[in-house]
Amino acid sequence: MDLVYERDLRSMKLLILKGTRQDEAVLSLANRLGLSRQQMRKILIAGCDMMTLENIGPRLEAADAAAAGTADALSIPHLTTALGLLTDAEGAAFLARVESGESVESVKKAILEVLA
Amino acid sequence: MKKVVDVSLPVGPVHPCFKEPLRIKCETAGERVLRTEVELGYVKKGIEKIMVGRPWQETMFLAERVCGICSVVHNTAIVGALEEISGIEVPRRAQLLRIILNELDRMQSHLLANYSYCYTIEHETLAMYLLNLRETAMDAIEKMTGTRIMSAYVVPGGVREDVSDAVLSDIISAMDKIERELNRYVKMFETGRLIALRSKGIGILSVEDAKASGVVGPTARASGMECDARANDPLYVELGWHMITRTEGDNFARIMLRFDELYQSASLVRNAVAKLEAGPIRLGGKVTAGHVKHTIEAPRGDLTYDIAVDENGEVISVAIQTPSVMNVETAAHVMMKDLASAADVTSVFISADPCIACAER
Amino acid sequence: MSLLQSIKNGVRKRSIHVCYVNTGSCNGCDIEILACLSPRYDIEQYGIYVHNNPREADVILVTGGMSPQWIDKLPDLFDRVPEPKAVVTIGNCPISGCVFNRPGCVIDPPVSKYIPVTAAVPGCPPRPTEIINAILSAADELFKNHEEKKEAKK
Repeated sequence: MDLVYERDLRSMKLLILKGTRQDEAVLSLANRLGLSRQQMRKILIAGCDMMTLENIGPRLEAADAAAAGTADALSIPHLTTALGLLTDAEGAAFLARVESGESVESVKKAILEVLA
Repeated sequence: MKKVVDVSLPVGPVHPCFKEPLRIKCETAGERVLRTEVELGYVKKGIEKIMVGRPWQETMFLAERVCGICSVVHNTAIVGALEEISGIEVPRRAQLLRIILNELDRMQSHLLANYSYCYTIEHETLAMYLLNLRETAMDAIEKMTGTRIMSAYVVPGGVREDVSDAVLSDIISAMDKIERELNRYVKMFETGRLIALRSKGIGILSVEDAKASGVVGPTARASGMECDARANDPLYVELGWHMITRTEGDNFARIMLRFDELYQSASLVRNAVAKLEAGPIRLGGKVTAGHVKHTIEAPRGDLTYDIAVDENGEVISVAIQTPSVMNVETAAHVMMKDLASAADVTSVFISADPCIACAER
Repeated sequence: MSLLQSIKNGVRKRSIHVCYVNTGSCNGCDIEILACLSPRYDIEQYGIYVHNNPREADVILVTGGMSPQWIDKLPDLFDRVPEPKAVVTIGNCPISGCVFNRPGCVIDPPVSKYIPVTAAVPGCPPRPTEIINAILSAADELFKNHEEKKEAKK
């Protein structure tokens, strides 16, 4: 079926992410997760809608203020409440894995695998 | 490409209720709206990109055209940022005139927002009353600056033109008229049973959600958050400004809060006119190099200009964070989550006073 | 002129449905169109109804300088408007792009590249009275004797 209204939004999403404020936010999240800027952009473009991308700065700032302890180390608030890349249940599952004795590094790797 | 939402009900881009184009894709189960996704790009112009490398004299007019509804506040914000960078003094008369114009602008913007809401819930009579009242505020702006929209009245170091006493008394009588008429309309809105049915308890925004998405302005204050950039301005406090908040956080609270702010703006205009003394309206100054983050209160919330200028007055980088970015996002993703009826999508969206031209720039 | 045609002319004169499309303006022109609705200017006394639905529109008001999303959608929307139809552009943006038409911008004016434009109202933004005047004069000229003109064209 020919969906008239559906079109590829990737170029327009990239245009949004190239804005000064948005670019700062993307870079800070990329550093936090240990990814490059391009990889981060790819994940965000695939997983978020255009309005979230516009509002990425204030949302990540709020997540920065809310995060603490292991959740902060894994950037769980950033990925769940702020951006919606993971569901709340998934986020809680990752946190539980750290509490049950798994190292932060390996869980972080698992999160990145889910995102990619 | 991964799909965010399984679309079953698209709203827009050309829609009878929307002033501006955007597309909300709703995932529905029966009447219930589960999640929404917003598709933008209909009014993207790339203003931030055009601004870079241009002298401030040009940037000023570009900033004004970020948004046609609140053009005055964008003008004030960028000029305020340039003044903060260069340490330019503003005479007191000019400061008060700026406040008068900004509050008049806030009044017409709030009246337009409330008009849109009443129009969306199909209370056309009240909508037309409010739209007609807005013309009174527009007339006051026109008398003061010479044009209805895009007046470029605020310039670095002061304002462009002085205002005569005759115009000031016209503005005061306009305030009288607005307050008198508003009493009637607010009563109509407060006591209307059908209005309450479509407004109370719909599109609730809790304080936690408001904090997580960084909502600002009337939308945040209706949820009980105390955020208003006017609190940091000593002149506003001197004129008797105080924080207005409500706790319900639903459509009704957002519209009522705007009505309350209209009364406050009218009294601020009155106090500012009473405090006006004869004096210069513009002092000299030179724009110098620097980088600043300047925040002022727009009709829709905190407006931030993050601007860097070189010694010739050319813009090196600029980031405009408009209130609509946060408010539209929250309206679409938080307020519309688990909405009981698909018919409420438009009214919830309009109650947050969205301005897509601001949000996309 | 046949009797049927004169009846149609009379009816069309008092019933013009308007749909406004914002193709990347700053909102300034849009709220001036909205201001026309207010009882002060009272656009409905001339028989102009703003419905914002392209499928029942006679006149499309275009504001803005063609942002990327509209490039395929505006011609599509124009096709859905029933005959006879007219396009009136409001403001400087649809004509030239106004202040936004600089290197690095994403808009692509003029609008007349994509759909046929009947009339243009310049101004940044034009006053409500000018908008009403433009709609009335453009619609009158265009819709008068529409069927007879169509016959003559064949």
